[in-house]
Amino acid sequence: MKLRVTLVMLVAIVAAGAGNVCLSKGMQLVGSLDAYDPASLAKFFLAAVTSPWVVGGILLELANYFLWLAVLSWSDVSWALPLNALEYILVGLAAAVFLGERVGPVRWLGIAFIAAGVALLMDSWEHPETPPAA
Amino acid sequence: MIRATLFLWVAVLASSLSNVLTRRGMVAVGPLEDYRPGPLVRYGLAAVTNKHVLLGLVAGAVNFLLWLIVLSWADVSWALPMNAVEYVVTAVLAIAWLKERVSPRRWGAIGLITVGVACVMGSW
Repeated sequence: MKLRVTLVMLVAIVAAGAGNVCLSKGMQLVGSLDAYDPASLAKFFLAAVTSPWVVGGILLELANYFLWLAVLSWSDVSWALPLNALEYILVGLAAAVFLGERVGPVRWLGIAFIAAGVALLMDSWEHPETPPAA
Repeated sequence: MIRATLFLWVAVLASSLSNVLTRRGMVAVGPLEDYRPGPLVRYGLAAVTNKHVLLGLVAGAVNFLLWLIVLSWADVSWALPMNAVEYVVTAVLAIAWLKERVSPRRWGAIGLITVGVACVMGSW
């Protein structure tokens, strides 16, 4: 049971991270949105939803969503929720390797703080005196 | 950087709103207990015809469109961690509105996330 939860969560997290990397690649190809009139917005979003990278990203995010629903439908998974913090680290690595983003020490430090904070926050869900806020 | 941060924060607010609305709607719809195709479809229909769930979906769509705009401007390694500010917003709202008690552990977590978001934001 623990193995199954861990595996499904890891697949969900990798899908979410890969999805965001694909969305980022697609939107970089679509190009920066610089005009906000209806025609420009329509052109921008049309280019977005016809980009294979964006479509792939959306499919991966949907896969993440349904896997996440499955995880939440199982009982007693709170111990596994801190794993969610991995997405920030995975996306930092993938963005540097696959998208050529320059992730400097300050950003890595920030990512580390955020991942630690999210893991700690998720971990606190299992304590009865602090019910989930959301 | 300013427009990306601004759009990102509005996207985070939309996501927060989407969660609250969806949760409220799903509480009214009730728990899913029958996994056969017929009841599953009926449950899905009951969910998507609930006013709060629908509004939650609209807020979720707004969040996604804003996220695409942000990704057209910013590095994903910058923008994605910034989304964690939602946890801080949720915690602050829970304290302010629901008068929830917050354990030292959660205060620590909120502090770490706040410092982390500040570092990432400054790393543009």
